[in-house]
Amino acid sequence: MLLIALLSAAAAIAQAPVPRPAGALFIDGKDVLARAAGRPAVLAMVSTQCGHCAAVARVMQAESADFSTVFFAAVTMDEGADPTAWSQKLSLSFPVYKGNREVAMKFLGLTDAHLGTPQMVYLDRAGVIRAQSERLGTPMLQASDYMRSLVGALLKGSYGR
Amino acid sequence: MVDKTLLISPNGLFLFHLKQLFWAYVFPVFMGLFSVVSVQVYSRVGSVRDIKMHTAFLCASTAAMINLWGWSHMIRTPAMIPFYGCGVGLAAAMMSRMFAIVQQQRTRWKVKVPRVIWKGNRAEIEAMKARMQRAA
Repeated sequence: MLLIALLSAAAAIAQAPVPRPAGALFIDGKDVLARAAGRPAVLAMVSTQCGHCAAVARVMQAESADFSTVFFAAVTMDEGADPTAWSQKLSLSFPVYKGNREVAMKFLGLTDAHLGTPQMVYLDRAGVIRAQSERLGTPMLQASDYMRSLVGALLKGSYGR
Repeated sequence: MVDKTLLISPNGLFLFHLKQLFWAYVFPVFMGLFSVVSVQVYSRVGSVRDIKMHTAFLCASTAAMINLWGWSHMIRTPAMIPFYGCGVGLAAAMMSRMFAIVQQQRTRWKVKVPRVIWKGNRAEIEAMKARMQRAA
């Protein structure tokens, strides 16, 4: 019984593998990723109360100025979030959508589990998720230097074995 | 999780780890060291006989502000605590070996340069004592 409980707990927090085709990200009945339209995309699932999310939004804002052919977007996950106010406060020019935890969890391929914010997702031109934060967050994917390298690789579309 | 087949330039990863190394390991040690050294320095500056009030105030307040700035940047994870402790220990050990700090005037450039006299340097200590006796 204990083994079954442990296995089911592990299954609950297990993450979907990378790479994998991204599912649709429906917010207000529209697929957010449709706006990427064949461009690589950088998505951040954020909480408007979280300091690291604000920091990563600023990094994305700086990178979006340099990579105009990449789709940058953020989706809020917290209850009662005001994406417009948050976007204005941080002077963001990329879109910020009002989502929720269920939408984000489904898109990230996670079942009921504790989630660290921000959750970063990098998609290539074909809409395949090439990089994704681990459940409790991956600082490397939030850093400007690594984001720059990763986005550069997605733009080139170069893959090894 | 990053797709292992994606050919990513190593520069980004290298810079990320370099910055991580600095902020997670080097910075706490430096802050520990700075805290102890600055407290000792401004407490000694404050006890100098002819010190001006604003000099003592500026020394202490600047050191306190730098300390607080460091701590506010440092308190991110408990993993940094041992490194901070190492910095404090290193500074305390260093200060315990120090006999005095003197200002020596360089004849060529006419500038005063602070110089440490260590406790093990007997000859220098005796020379300093003799200089102080002559001055008294």
